[in-house]
Amino acid sequence: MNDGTIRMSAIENLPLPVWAEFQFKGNATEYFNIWIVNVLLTIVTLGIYSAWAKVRTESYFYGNTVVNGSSFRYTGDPLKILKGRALSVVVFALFWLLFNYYPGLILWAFTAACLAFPFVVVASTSFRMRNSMYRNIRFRFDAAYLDAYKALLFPLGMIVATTTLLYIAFDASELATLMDAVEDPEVEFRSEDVFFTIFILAAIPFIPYLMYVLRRFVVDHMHYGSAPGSFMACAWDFYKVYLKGFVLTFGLMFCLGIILAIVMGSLGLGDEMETGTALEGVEALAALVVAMVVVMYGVGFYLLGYLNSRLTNVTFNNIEIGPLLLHSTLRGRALGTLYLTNTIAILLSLGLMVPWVKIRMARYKASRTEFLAKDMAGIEAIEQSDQSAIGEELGDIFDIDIGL
Amino acid sequence: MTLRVTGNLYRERTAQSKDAIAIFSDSGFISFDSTDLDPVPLSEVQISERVGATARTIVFPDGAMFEAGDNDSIDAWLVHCGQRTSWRHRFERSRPLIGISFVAIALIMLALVRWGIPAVSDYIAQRLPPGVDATIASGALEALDDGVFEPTKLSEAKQQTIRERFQRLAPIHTATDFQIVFRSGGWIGANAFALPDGTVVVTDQLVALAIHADELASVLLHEIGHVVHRHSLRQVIRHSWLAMLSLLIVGDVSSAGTLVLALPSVLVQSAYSREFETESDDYALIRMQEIGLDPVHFADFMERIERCAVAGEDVLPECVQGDADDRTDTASGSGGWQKYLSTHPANAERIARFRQSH
Repeated sequence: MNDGTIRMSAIENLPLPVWAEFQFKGNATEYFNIWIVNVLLTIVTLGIYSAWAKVRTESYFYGNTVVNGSSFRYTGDPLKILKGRALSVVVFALFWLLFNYYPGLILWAFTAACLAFPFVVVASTSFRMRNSMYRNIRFRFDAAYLDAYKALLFPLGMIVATTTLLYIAFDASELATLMDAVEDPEVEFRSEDVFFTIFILAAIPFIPYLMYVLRRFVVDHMHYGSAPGSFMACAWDFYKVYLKGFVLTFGLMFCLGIILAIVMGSLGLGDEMETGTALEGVEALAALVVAMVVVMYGVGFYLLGYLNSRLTNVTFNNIEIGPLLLHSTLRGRALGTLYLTNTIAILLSLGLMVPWVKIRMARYKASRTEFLAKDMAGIEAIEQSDQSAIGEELGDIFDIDIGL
Repeated sequence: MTLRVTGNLYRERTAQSKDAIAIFSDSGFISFDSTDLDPVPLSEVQISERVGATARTIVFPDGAMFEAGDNDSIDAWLVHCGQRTSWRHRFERSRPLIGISFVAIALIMLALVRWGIPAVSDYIAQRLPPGVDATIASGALEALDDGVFEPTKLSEAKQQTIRERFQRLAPIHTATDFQIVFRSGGWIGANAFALPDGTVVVTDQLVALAIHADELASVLLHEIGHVVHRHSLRQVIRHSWLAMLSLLIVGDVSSAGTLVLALPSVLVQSAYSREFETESDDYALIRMQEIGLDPVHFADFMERIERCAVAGEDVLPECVQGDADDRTDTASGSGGWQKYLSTHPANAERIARFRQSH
């Protein structure tokens, strides 16, 4: 049929392990039909069918991902997913109400969401792994909820501690008294502003560490049948990715700033802005702003492509599941180009190209991923209990994705 | 009919497979040519639903699994055994049904955006207590004061005249506390805003553009219309529905999500706000006729705003003066696309309505 089958038999007859490429066999036309039926039935059933649509979509993508002649299987139960979705809609509605009518309570809601985050990570990972199958063996995630809180305690605690320290230091500094003097009527508003700035400043140095801890937590607690996963990356690997991304971002922003200054200077916009009368000046400026926004978006896609490709690579290349190894060689530029062209395609087609976009994304990712099985015979299936889909759906609606 | 299908057989509870040929017998049993597995009746196995061209799996009672890609043959055998094949797959394969689905989705989406979302949102808005409106934009004026507005330069006497006029125009028997405040518009220029709590903000530039006092009154009525019809609240609810709808349809498109959702939302939102403008125009028009103001003032004022709003403060006098003689000289140069995104599309249609009622 294809080279996948040949490879498979090669692997099982020879003792020498061979790196096998992932293949994605889906095609856009076929998936378009599945997608459009899903969309129609979801609309007609007022969203209820979306649970079945999800299972069908996942089954399509899992089933078309083939390595060593065997495909993956998704075994999620639509009814469980529906229950999870119903709960998620309620939570979403609560957040919406809070956001629009009780903005004062947002901070509390934010805290509650943070506290629930480890729970959602465990619940959603458990559901996804339990329902992922390859070669008649299920994946499994055996972390207890408490483990997640323990694992996240240090990085989150560090962020809280740093924020507090910085805030105290700021309060005692001359800057605070200076600001107090300037902004007498709105001290409260300002201090809230300052608090968020400090929070972000304090969080940034720990984001790579948080990402590392999250992925290590997931991989260390996952199993493929009887084979336990272990994560071999160290935190520094993640810091290297983010540091390079940081340097890249600021380098590009600096270049863009210089280009903007040169363009504005050559148009003489600066002078006209000062006199403030010329209509053409305002229009040229508007056009320039639009152009800058477009360029920024384009650059943003490539930065995102860089970051996502490196994070996936560093994660996959450090996963060991018993005798199984993964190898990922995603390229930042290729991924950025995919993000950019995908977005343009979706915009121009009013969403009709969504299936094509998802297919080519899956195809690219599969083509850059390899798999090595040193010994398949040693892996045995393990009985496991059923999982509810609540965490999975909560994670979906709030866009929690740990990227595995 | 007896069917022979090659595939992978996972016999043990391990990840190891071996090539096998499954025999689907005429009498509805499945067995294998090379193993000692007893023939199993169809009723005892689980055959996975067909999804595109992906390999199907047949799970046996003892946990063994057979994986095969020959979907058509298996379907034919299932039909032979009196089972139905997946209706989803048949739906997905039928070109006419796909075509109908496509048209149906387009029509439903249009209907939802055009009638469904407005109807449901307005229904919800009606059920919410009046106090809710005020909370939506609490702090909006402060934010605008911080970023855009500067203190008014209008004389106290002028302010008082307009304020008295405004109080006479505002509806009396209502829970809303109507009041008017003045600001210098900054880069926004000549404009007026209605906040949901009943505060109407008027910029100095707008006041300066009014030649006749009734012109300003007509715009104040328009803004009061926004408050009376609870446009801010309805807008918020409509936008939330829109966001949820786009999310549902487009689904999880990683990374591109926000931008993809933003563009159609912006287009529909500006359509919604045009609808609200029309509703406020209706209100202003009816009230003007009730209290005996000439609707033509609104039309005149709108035209002048359209022509002069972009200009800086120092050219205002010329702009107001030139009004009488060159009415045809509209500021078409200010870019057509901006008007589509503008919240006050002072277009010919709106102006014509007020002229006709003259």
